[in-house]
Amino acid sequence: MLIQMKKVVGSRLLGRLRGKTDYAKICHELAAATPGEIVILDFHGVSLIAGSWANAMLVSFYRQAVEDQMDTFPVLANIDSECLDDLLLVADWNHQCYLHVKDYGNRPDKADLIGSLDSVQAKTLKVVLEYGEVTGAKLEQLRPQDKVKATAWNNRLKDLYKKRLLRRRKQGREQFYSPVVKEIVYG
Amino acid sequence: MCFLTAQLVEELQSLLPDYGRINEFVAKLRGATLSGIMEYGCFRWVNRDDVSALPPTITDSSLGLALREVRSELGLRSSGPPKSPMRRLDGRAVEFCVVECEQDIVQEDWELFLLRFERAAKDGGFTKKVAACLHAALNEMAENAVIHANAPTGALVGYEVSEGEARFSVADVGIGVLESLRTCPDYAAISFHNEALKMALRDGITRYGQGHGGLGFRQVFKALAEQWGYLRFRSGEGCITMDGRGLDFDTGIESYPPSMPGFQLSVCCRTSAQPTFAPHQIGGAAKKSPVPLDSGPRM
Repeated sequence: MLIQMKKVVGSRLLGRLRGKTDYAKICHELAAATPGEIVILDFHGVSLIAGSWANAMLVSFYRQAVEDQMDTFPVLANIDSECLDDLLLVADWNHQCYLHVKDYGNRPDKADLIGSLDSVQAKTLKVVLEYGEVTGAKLEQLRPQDKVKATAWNNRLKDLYKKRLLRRRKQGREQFYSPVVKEIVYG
Repeated sequence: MCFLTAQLVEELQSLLPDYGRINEFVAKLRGATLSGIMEYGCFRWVNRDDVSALPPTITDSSLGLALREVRSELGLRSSGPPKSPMRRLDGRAVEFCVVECEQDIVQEDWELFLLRFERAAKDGGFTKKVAACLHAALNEMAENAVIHANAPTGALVGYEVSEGEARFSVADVGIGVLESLRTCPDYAAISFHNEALKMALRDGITRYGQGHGGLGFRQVFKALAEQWGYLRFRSGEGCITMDGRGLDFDTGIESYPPSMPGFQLSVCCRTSAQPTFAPHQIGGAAKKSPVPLDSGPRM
């Protein structure tokens, strides 16, 4: 699903109050999204994104995305580089991470990560990006040198899933995790 | 020749309760700055029965005429019709607006007010980027007033632009920064107005708790990042001023003026170190200043 932000909320995204009203507009657009779907918020043509707006709109949007009823995977696109430092601040304060892509076709395959991961999360993400689709048990098997049990891997994978960096599908009793985009540049 | 500046308002306050001397002084005023006229409005709101209205030399100036367009208890008239909606987008040299509630900040009238300010700033020689940042900064400051001030009357917002200089002020008579921050348990221990002001200027500090907002002043500092500027933040018995280039939250000078309710802030953004004009003294028209300008910025 693609949401053209300029069309829906305008080209100047300022203020907490505008952020709240814009969140409602985006939620309205999301009515058509299906669970598990990638939702691209394309900021092409948006010249200004204030931190206060992001703190009101994006933070709520990402929290909503994790909810079972919604379960979408947001990806931000084409954000002006001068707006990125505010987004980084907001991401860090709220312990969120945003995938940001510059160009995308039908489905984005390379993204920058806005926000911070701790060393364990960063390592887990690196491993998933290397193997593609994984389970906790498979990682224990593939990486004995890490001396990490399947349950611990599963917890780490779940953390990244909640951050909307990994997708998840269930097969039998196992949860399979895969990156939302094939390549994520972090740090 | 006396001009009503924010500093002069402090001096008038220090004469309290000698209303005779205050009113005698006010009657002799020849002009006013944007922040001066707005802080005087707050001062008079507190002492309405005793402090006289501003003289015609100010009320009939273009600054005064613009202020008379709005109905505000902090302005020059508190009755009569509200300001007529303006659909035009061309920038004005000076304009005021009143914001009373959150709804006012998301209305089209407010957006047009900001766009006129931005347009005026561009006409005044600021780049498109800086003008847009000033627009954003003014929006944030007005929004702060309606969200946090808990004021008994609407906040007064004004801007004034001339060649190479853009100013804006926001004034409210609400609970002030100290009381607002202290409603948050994280900041309940703060005791002094200047301490609260300094805290509030930092990223992420808000009465909602650290990280739950508090990005408004960041927008002000962003707007001034590559410009010369003068900032004044006043609340309660505290005041922080900043002057220079590349200002940041930790560069302020503290002073301790007489108490004033609410929060009054003034931002002056310049393209050069020294203002070449002092339009505020004649209410917006860009004419040469009749007073020496080498005494530093005047607010």
